[in-house]
Amino acid sequence: MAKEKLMTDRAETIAAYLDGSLTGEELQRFETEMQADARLAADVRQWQANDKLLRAAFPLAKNGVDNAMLERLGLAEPKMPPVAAYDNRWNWGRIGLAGGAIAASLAVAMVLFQPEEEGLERDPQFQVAMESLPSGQSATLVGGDALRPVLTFRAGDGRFCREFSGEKTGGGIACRSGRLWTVEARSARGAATVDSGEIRTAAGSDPAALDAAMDRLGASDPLNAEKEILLISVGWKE
Amino acid sequence: MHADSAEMKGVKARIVAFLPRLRRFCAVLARSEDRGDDLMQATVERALTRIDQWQPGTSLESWMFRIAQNIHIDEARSQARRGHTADIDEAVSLAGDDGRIIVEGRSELERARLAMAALPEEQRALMSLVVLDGRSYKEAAEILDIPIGTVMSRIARARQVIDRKLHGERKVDD
Repeated sequence: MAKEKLMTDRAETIAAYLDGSLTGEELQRFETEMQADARLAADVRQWQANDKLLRAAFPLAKNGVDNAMLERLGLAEPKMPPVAAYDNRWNWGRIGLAGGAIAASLAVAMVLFQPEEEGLERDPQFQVAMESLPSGQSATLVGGDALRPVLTFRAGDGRFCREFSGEKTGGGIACRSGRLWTVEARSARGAATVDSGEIRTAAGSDPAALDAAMDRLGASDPLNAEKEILLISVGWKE
Repeated sequence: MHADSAEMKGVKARIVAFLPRLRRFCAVLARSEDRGDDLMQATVERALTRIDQWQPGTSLESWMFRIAQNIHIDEARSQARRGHTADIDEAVSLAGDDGRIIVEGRSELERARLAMAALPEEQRALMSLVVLDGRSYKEAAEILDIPIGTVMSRIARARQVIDRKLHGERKVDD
């Protein structure tokens, strides 16, 4: 019986250690014990690896949450307004285009393609993508664009932020606060090119514009993939 | 809260951002992605129709986890009353005599999923909240409406079971 009790206590302590529930003296005592007891340290490592395996076995966005499902759940915006109708004042200030016919054409292209910030944030798939997609994977927005998180970093004020990029949406940075992702910066989207008489906008972001925003936000180095997946898995809670 | 109010739109946006986590929790509880999606749908429907019962300032996510857990328990009870036993999961029959899952040709990830599915109901819910979702013991205790001491003992037992399923029984004092 005594041995069983000991085993139970030990299991509870290992679990509490792994779950961040040991603090102060308890934590110190346990870490000292681990240094002296190789078997205990091995058990801790094995349970830690088990946890990691479980998290990998139940990834957050295995099948995504598609628009049909959002509609079924009564969570989809009933109808997105046509993209061309969006007000684009925010971007005008940053685009700073020179005059001229080509510039005017480009501006029209950008107005057509670039939704306002609120529109992007209100796109449920944007929120899902920011919340649950590892960098490099893409999701289709309600507005139709394929958008992917590019990297994740920590802002100076402690928020987690992600750079994103979309074919039509362009590049940007969104930060998480109040469990929602808010767009902090948008790039003017890379240089537009004229190809076979058609104006085409370059996909992806304008790194210089986003670098400035990262400086303003006091960005940390990008988080590595493992840390990013862990944060996604636990709902961005440390 | 009016269905079209800005407040309600804010709540819906939060639910949408939370959906992937809720979906995972439901799939683990229901031991299948399809049944999990049904549970998730029922959870969201109930949350939206009873949104007035949620107190702003408290965690919407914890409230929805609790709804999912309650619906799942209600469903299990009603199935039992109808004479249905819960699905005997494949995972259970795959456990060998030494507790290790017989998994030739199965990937590590499949073994982990089977090990989780083989856990008793209440341990599965806890593992999902604490290990997968990173909730603290206090949050998990509130969501599942159990004392924190019970959380500690259940989570330790669950981890022991998972360890045995993945690595087999080990000698105690070697």
